[in-house]
Amino acid sequence: VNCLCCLATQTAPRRPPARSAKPRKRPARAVERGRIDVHHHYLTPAYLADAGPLYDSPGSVSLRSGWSPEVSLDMMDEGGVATSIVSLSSPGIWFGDGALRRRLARECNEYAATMVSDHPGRFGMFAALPMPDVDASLRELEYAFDTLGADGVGFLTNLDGKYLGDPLFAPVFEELERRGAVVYTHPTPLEASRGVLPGIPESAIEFGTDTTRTIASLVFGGTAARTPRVRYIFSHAGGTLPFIVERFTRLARRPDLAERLPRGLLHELRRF
Amino acid sequence: MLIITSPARAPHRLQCPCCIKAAPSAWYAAAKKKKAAVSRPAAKKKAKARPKAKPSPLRIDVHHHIAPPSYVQALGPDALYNGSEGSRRATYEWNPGMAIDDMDEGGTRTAITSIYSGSAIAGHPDARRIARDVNEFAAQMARDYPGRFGHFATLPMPDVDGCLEEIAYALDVLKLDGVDFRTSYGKQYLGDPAFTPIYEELNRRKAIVYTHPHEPDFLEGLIPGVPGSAIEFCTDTTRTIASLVFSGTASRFPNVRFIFSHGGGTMPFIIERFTRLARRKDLAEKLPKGVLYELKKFYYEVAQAAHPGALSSLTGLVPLSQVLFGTDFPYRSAKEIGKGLTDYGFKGAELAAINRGNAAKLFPRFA
Repeated sequence: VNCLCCLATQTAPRRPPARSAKPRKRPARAVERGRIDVHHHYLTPAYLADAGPLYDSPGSVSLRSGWSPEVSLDMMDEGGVATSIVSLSSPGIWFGDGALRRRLARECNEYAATMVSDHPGRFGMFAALPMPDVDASLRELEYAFDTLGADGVGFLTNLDGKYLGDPLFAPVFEELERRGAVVYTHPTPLEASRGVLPGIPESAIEFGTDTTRTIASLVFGGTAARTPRVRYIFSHAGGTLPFIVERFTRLARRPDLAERLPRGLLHELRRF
Repeated sequence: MLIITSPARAPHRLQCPCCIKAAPSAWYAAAKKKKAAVSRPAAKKKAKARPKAKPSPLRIDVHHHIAPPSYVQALGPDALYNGSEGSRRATYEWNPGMAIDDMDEGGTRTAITSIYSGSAIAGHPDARRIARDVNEFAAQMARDYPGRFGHFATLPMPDVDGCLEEIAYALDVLKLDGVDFRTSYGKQYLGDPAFTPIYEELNRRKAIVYTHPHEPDFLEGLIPGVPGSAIEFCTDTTRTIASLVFSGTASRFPNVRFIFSHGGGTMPFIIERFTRLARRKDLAEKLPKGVLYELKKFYYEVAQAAHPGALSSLTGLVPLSQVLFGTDFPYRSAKEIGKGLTDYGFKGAELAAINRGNAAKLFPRFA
């Protein structure tokens, strides 16, 4: 598998996922002490039937054509990865209409849960939610956490052009806060910037900046400060944020934004 | 030599802008008149009040904005003012004395200036005239303050013929120091084939191209309350670097010396995306010396990037010889950016190279 995203970011989360506490048979000692990969993609046959044509970059074409859980396991063994917490890559389930999103969310989450149970200890899962339908998302969230035992939720950085701090998503973040959940985010290009540089894939530049945008939306929109128990994970070392952090710290002095960050901007950025 | 030591004594915008449009001489006549009115003892007192400073680092600031009155008048303050403090200072308060004050305080010997909010010119029906007026003004400023100011010529982009005409005038007649491009014009980035005639001319002249970012209009207002400068400016620099290298423009015109603002936008942080992409056959063909060769040949100034998050990535990628001092005045001060560099740990020969030495090689008339 040649997914551009997976290889570079194999870092451990601050806490081991809840699942690792369960007793499991470990295939080898090396695996026991191996890495935990929090950025690892999966696909399902049903998902590909709908989203396949949207997988058009060189990395995702190879993912599309030859992926199976065994391919992931081979690669994990080769790279010393004990456990991968799997999530959907761009475009996730965030295309098509609400009914399709609800169906795909359920199918993908159940598929991932099967991977988790079929290969004890090797996989965890970030659940997909059929945003922006808040009611359906709350239902799926409950099912994914309480029935499937998800390790967190996986969002894309923008959903239909709306960033994660958008007030529309507030009820979902409230519930995630109540649960003290882990929120993983994966970048996706903004529709408006698609094809802006002829011949240059969106992953090269637009992915990085979209993560930065959603961090800005979460901190300056106030969601980050309102959800202190949510553990956020951002892909690709924060998109481009660390390089331009001074823009953020200066902006955070503006009174209307400072109000939404009672513990300060850096408090939030450092706990992500 | 005309010296204006404080904004209070500097010539503020003349009351009636109609009278001075495109006429820097009127500005300077007024400035000289005002200067004559300043009593000498007052000027001396001011000078004594300043604490004894270390020897000046004689910085050369390659990211320093001017907003001549004729320019503000031609575009209208509404087109330039974006609500921020820096923008207010640029649009409503800028004058040469204010620039000199900041330069003196921050140890800047010379500022190579560029027009404030220059994207506003792009596509303007009077773009050629506005660009000419700015360049004339900047040339006059350079004469009035010898050694203190240069200018990257303002161009009527994306009007290719107009640009070629202005390049000849600005570089041959006005002896300006290079040209100023925005990172994009609509969806045209700097590697766009439409600009080839301009690069042919700049390559022939071994010219310096300074680039300044902006928020592309198709990405405006993405996050409520967050201005375009916070994120979109930076990424637009990265896009235009990608456009220049992957279109083959950078390698086809090797004599052009590019300067990118703000430490390269975000490019150094996401460099691996560039190096991996450059393996693609169609792109590799356009980069016979490799993508890193081109990226390491460009120059990068440090305005708004004089902090560890940016400097660690930038200096991990390019040799220190490619790093230039820049402030983004009047948004930021020379003192602030200077402090950022020393706080990061630059000292001695390295600091001197960034402050002055690297730029002195690019702009020998200020060496």
